[in-house]
Amino acid sequence: MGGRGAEARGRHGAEARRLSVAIPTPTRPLRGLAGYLVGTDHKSVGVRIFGTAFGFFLAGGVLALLMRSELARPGMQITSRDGYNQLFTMHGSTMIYFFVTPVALALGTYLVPLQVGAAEIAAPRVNLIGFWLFLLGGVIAWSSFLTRNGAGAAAWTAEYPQSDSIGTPGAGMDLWIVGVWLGVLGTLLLGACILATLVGRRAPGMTMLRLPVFCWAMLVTSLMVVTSFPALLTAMGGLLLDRHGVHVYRGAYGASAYQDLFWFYGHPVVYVMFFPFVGAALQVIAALSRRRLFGYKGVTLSLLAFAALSMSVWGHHMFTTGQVSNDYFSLTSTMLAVPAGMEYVAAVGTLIGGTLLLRTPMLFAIGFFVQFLLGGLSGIYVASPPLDYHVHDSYLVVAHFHYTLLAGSVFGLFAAVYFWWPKVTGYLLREGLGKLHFWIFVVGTNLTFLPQFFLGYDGMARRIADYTAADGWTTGNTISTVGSFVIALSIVVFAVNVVVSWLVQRPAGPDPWEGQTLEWATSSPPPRQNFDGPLPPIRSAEPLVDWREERARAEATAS
Amino acid sequence: MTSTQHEFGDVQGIYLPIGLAVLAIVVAAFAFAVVRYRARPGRAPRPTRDRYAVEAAFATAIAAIVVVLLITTFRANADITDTARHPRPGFAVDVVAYRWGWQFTYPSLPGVVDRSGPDVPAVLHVPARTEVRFRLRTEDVVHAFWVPSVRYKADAWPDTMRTFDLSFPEGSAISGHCAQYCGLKHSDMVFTVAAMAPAEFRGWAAAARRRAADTARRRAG
Repeated sequence: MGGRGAEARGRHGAEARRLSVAIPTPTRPLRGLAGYLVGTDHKSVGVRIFGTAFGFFLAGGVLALLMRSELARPGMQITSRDGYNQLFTMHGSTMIYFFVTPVALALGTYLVPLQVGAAEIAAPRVNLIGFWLFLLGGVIAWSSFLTRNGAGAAAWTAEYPQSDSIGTPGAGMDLWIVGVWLGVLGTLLLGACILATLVGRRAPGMTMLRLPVFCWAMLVTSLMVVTSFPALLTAMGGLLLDRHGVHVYRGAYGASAYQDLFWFYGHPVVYVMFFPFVGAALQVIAALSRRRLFGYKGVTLSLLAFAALSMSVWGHHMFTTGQVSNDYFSLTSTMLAVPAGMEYVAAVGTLIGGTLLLRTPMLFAIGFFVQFLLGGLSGIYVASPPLDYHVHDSYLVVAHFHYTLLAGSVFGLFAAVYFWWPKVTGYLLREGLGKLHFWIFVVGTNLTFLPQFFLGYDGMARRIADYTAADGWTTGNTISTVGSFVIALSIVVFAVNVVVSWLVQRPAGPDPWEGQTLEWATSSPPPRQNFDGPLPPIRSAEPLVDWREERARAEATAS
Repeated sequence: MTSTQHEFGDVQGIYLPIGLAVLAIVVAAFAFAVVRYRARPGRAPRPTRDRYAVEAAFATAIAAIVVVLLITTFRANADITDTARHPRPGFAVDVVAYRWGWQFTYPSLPGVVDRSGPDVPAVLHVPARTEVRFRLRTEDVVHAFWVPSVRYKADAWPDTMRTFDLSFPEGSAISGHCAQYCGLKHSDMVFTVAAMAPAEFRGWAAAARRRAADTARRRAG
């Protein structure tokens, strides 16, 4: 550690400016189980959230493979109808509550303090509690499989009255509600810590308009987290009471009240699971194009507009209910195309004119934008009530949101993983295996989800355990199932990459990619207090690019 | 073509080509960038400059597309949902959704009931190419009445009567499903629509009423 720290000092020592804030003396990091339980270093907590969320990703993925196996052919082969209902409920809830949301916040927990030049995350103990609540919530929700009636089976949305004590009886559903409630409370705390860090822990010189684009993405993400997640806590809290004799949602208005509350969380959370990956992918694209981000102010403005609009689009999940003003929600939802389009303008505008290094993170970042587009455009399609009356709750919608989440956000996640892995661990992941992982993942996601657009259009409803040969959906479903196993294969390749790279380590050094932001100005992995020496001066959103340019100018003058 | 199908086709006729064009343009832009600007020896990146005019132009173009889409959507949605604009319904159906089946009754055919049996889907009988007024309600949870071939569905909402109009092309086994997850046998909550030519429908209606009357007499006796 000392050697790497000295190296970081040496690199930036010449023109470094003294920090005006005192860096607190670090306590000696706790190791082993104690460190895992009570360590408050945001980097360690970030890694723990990431690891836990990735574990849930694998578990939820196994459920997906079981579902796809059941649907491959007509008739019931793998499980029962009840078993299938538990599978899709636990798959959806695991992926949304316990994988994509926390993993997005894990990136923020790890990277935001580094990128803003802070020695520590704001409220580190609250951050740690957030992790524990998330882990506890996930374990409790999954423990519902152990109950007599099985796991929660009211879908990830738990819509009332299907989720009441008559529609979904049993302790499994109660455990599911408690687990989700705790998990969402945990992620709410994680978001609050990230927000507080961005507001209050920025290094001198790090003005709002010098925040790296990933930090802007995390800022709007955590704003949405703290404003929308309480709605879910309310909805689920009410649901638990309702199941135990307190009449909360009875009657015509109760069902709407639940859905309004739920989707007031449920739509912003969609962007919570998207923005961090936009930020990460733009950061990767800029670094590996060897160029500053194009349209930085446009991106920040779009992110803010996007986040503001995201709070007023929830009713587009309810077009078929007859309980909301469809034209209004169609208006707000379709308007999202403008800020979303600006993110694409930034990505393409950065690539054009750069010198593109097509390393693994770059492939995933470009793949993220291209693949997400199918999810985004089909999102505009379903935002039109006359089209949604047909495709709502069909497999077309399943295809749509899997293109945003798995075939979209998870590409962005892997871009981030390959890009920041060397920073977190100190060694690089293998390029060859990384590229193999990428291409298998591209094939797998499209093979799985493209056919589902056609299945849904043709009349296959969501959340069905079975269909008949006469429906004519067998071929599409079989292709989709094969695709899901191709996705699984790509994850195996990733796992092999992780193991190989760990067994025979290739040291990364502090800055393997010519990074542009402050985390690349410290050792890999960074020391407990993040930066050993003084920070390089912060005069733009890319302080390390400034630093390199100045050094090049100085060298030119000297010679 | 029936009205909901027609409106759906009109809207999709705008949305789908625009969406595919945008997809093609964006994919082409990324492909161009990757091929043209791939790192090669001796090539240096161009410094990034702010080009507010370019960004504003893109934002305006997207906003213009959004306006076109929304006008299309609002018009079609008004046509579909505003029952006052529809032709006078020539037939009416009362639909009750329940866990896990359907019941169809017909105000003009008292006593005639089409209901799901064990493992037998309910059959909804309607005259083809006729505006049919539906009144939809649920006995328990939220269900959704979906007939894919006419491109329409509506949720059956607790303690609420939903009203909508549909017309069907002629066909004896148009498939319908419950689209809203409703528990254990959601997958099995299917029905079929028999949309008959007017003469054929009159014949079915007469027979059905006779059968209903017979049943009622037998019950009374």
